[in-house]
Amino acid sequence: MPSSTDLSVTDPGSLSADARVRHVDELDERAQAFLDAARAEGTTPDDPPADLTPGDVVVFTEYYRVR
Amino acid sequence: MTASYVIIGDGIAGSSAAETLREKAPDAEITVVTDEGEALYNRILIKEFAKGKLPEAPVSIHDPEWYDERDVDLRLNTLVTDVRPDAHEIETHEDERIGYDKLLVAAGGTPVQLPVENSDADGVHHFWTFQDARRIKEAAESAETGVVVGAGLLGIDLAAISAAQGVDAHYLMRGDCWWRYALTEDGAEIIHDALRERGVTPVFGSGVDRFETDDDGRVTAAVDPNGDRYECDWAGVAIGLDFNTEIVQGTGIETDSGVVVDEHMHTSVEDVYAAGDITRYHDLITGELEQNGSWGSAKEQGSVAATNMIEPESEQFRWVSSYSITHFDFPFLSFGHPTVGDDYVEAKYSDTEWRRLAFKDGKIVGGVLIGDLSAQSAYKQLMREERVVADQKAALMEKQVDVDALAPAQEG
Repeated sequence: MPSSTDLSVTDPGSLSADARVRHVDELDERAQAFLDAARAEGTTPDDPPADLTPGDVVVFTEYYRVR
Repeated sequence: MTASYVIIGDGIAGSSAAETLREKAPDAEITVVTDEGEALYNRILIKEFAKGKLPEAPVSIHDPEWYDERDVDLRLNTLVTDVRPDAHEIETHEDERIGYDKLLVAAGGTPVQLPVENSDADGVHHFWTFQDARRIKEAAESAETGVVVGAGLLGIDLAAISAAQGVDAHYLMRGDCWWRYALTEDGAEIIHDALRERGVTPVFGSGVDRFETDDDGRVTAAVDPNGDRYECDWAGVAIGLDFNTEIVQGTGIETDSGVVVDEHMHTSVEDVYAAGDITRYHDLITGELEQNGSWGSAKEQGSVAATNMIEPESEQFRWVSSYSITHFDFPFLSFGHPTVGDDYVEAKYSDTEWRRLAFKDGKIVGGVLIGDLSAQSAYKQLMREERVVADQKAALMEKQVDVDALAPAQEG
């Protein structure tokens, strides 16, 4: 489980060929809710879920990079 | 004696099953047969590729080494022509017979062809596979005008591809709104507005009566039942899926617009299982036979099927699905079965926020949320717990839903 997680909007055009990209529907429920809360609040909530791995890019309303 | 498992289909259901089988049966023979020319790819992300947002590489999930590392025999470009449950074997188009101890049918579906004149013309596209996405992307990049048909979850992907590729498109719908079986006009108008903002014009009470072509057989226009003509050099059709059940016809395996399975993903024939889009499964929450086309559901079904192929009736499929649309700057979530209710409640909170719940026998069986998904966890929990809550619609339509504040759990 990551000790801290940051989500930031990223430009899909900047992704490398080996980028790990997932769609929000591939996440477990907790990660989906976490991602939506981050989108709605504009900040990354505490207690990040294990299903979000640093380096991942998740397709939601934007492309979000997990740091 | 080494157990042998054969899986028809290398989508997420079939692939999930292969992975689970290898984890639980290290010494088993596992064969995956697919008519596609490539291994598992992300069917959700192929639309992002077609929109021009993603390159190909991130869309591919498995490379050949994945199968080699797990000693899974992957047969690409291989069509299964016959299934013989009595003989415990399948036959391929190359007349090869592959024996099995247990078989998993995860063959998915094929886009329904629009039964109108010139629906097979050049420039008219159906969208299901990665190869379809490549063709659609290439065509859309040079197209100027488009028509989209199919007012559901697949059609809107084509509309979004049009928008992303700068194609000036008309989205022809038979009904009064997009996804009329799950949304009312209040909710659908949020989608309509978003489409219009992106250069896609919804047209209601429409559809396609025929396509017109030029002398080279390329599509030039769609004519709707009202006689209205929409020029297009690109057309996308997404009116549903035919499930690939033809290979089990005549085998005794029960079908009903899909392969019928119980909660263990077992078909009506011993040692034959099914998983993914092709199934009509006994849903433990609704108590009915249901179908579901979501990625997470297919992945879970594959895993559950595999577990039961090794140890029969050891695991049940009990699942609340999620299906998100991510084409817009607001979120859209469909969960469960939003179209099968005997009772509904909806609320509109703003021009961009709306939700609707479907109930059956007083319990939530599905819903749609647009713009604000904060209540999704509560709704899914209530659905999972099968709580009778339809008598508390006002509380359920509060912006924030407090599950603990609702009346105590009841069994319906």
